[in-house]
Amino acid sequence: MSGTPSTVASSAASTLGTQSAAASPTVLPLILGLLTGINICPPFLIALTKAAESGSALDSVRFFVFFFLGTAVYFLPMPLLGALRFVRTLQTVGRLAAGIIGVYYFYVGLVTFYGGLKQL
Amino acid sequence: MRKLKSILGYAWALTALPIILATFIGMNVWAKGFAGLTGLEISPWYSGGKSAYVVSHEGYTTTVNEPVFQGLVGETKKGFVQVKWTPAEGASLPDELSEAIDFDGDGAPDFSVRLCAGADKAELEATNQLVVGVREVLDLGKERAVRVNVLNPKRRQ
Amino acid sequence: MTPSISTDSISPAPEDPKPYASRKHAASGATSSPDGTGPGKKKRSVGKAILATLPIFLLMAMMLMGQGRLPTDPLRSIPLLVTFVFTIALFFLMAWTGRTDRYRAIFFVTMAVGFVITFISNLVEVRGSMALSAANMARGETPFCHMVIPMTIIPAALTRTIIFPGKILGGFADISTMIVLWIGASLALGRGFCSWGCFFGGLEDGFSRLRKKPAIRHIPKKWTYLPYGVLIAIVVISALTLAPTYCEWLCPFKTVSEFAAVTSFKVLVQTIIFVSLFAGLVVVLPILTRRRTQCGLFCPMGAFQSFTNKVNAFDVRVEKEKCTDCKRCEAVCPTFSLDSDSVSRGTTRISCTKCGKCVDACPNGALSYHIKGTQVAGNSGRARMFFLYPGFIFLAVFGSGMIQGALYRLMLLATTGSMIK
Repeated sequence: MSGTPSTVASSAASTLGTQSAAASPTVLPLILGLLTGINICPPFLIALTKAAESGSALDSVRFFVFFFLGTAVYFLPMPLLGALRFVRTLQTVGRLAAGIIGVYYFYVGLVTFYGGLKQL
Repeated sequence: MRKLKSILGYAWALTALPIILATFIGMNVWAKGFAGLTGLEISPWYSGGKSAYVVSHEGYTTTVNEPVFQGLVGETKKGFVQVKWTPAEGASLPDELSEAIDFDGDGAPDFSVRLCAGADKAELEATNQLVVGVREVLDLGKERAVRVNVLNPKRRQ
Repeated sequence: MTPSISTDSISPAPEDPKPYASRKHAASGATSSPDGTGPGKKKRSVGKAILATLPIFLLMAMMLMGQGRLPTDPLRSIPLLVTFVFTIALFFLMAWTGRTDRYRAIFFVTMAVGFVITFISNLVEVRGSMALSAANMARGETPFCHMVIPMTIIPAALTRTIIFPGKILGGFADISTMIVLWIGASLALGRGFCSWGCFFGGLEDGFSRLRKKPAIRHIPKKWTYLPYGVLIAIVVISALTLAPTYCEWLCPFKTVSEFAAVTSFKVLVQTIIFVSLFAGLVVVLPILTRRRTQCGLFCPMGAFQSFTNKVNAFDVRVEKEKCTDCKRCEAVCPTFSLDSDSVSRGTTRISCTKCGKCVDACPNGALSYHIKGTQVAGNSGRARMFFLYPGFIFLAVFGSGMIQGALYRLMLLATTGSMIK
């Protein structure tokens, strides 16, 4: 999927016929969660395969509950970092740094892909 | 208050010249002090790691280093082992070098490597599935070295 | 939606301001001199300038003649003497005329060219080529450059190792020595290191002075934040990969120093990148913009060094009473360190390298070197001298070896037909 989560959610929301869905604090996460499954997300794949293996939806749900608890720890300090969003300099620097690191990850992806192709 | 700030400012500014002079005049002393205090070493990814054991042969010795799995935190999944051949004083290395190497310390050889004089490729025979392949061959003048890529036994699932 | 960054560009050079006599500050009473240095640059008498130069003369004599006597080989003694006279003459001119940047730049550019000649000749003499092989790296023979410092900090803190194929102690440009030099320069000069020390910056400084007028005047302000972005990116990637990312992928100055031998496609790509960055950011753009574009728009070490300005005694300030907002300072600053925001606050941006170009360029003498904590007005001459002594000594001692080395190589070329022994 391309585009920022909010633009993807907006287009999904308008497809579903709910224009205000993108702005809702409950519907937006729900749509993003649904879309994450279509986007290849490794933890999601693990949960899916566990569900297929065990034949138990309960096992998969339990996996995801504890996965959520694990990631929630990292979100505790995030609201504090949000205070920095008002510093425009940091916004610009952050975007530029993200751009450069993105190029680096693109290169790593290409090399991995090429390495995989060579083995075929 | 303004006068105090001014005096402190000038005092601070006055330290700049002595700092520069001390830096240049005492450079060797400061550099030794820095190296000693911090205890920093070159990363094994570049230095090849620390020596694990040495094998003596007639006319030369083989130094096998500890495998390099240095990560920022903990160890990496993949690394390498360096094997270096050093001639004895006044001698030179034989035309063909061959060694069986045990890198994981279990007493059994994990791979054997063969290097011919003047060659920039080494032949590798692995007996352990953790051995991946030759990383690079180094011509260090009188010495020769080979670095072999290996997987970290501690990070095997 | 996040607000977009202002697309203000750094100001182009305005029309030449009105003649000095007709401006309202004409009656300020400050002296102007026959060489047109304007009211801020007081010209000393020759006698006072000689007195001011005397400490430099003595200090340089002490530093350069460390062995107690001149070398007997004329190929060594002539470069030593020429460099000594050159150094003292430049400081005298700085002290006498009151102008800083022009004479600093003469030494700075000469030192950078000297570095290139000396470094490459030494490499070819010892190694046979500029290329760095895997064996060189395994033996720790890579000289440590100050640009690596930011990338080494996190790995050094967490692993107690330096992620660079050099030597901790011993050999040419060993890690401990270079770090000690950098610490001393940072404490004394802050980001002044970039204009009074960095031998790479001198190349751009030279290229930026080739044209009389810039061909490109407008540079969007957001690009002045790129060095900080590059800094974050290389620090993070270097820490994760335990390899100096900037050196491997980006450093344009490998073109004039040393680089990995091209033995694979990846190294070929890296080579194309750094040669292109050198051609673009170090040669072409400085010529077209009359600015130090690599230093001001890319260099992560410069970004890192900017933070040392916070713990440095010196800065450059604007006397708002004298400022007519002609924007000349904004137009000439090589590292984009002046804009309307900073000038209205009476100061420079954090990236100021204290080169003195804005101080010399201001027609009203509104900009001056300043010591933090002291008054902005009235002390400019004193603050300047307080800065010039440590700044010039660092420049001269750090650079004189490079200039001497280059002169030696050129004399070797003239006498033997080759720069290499």
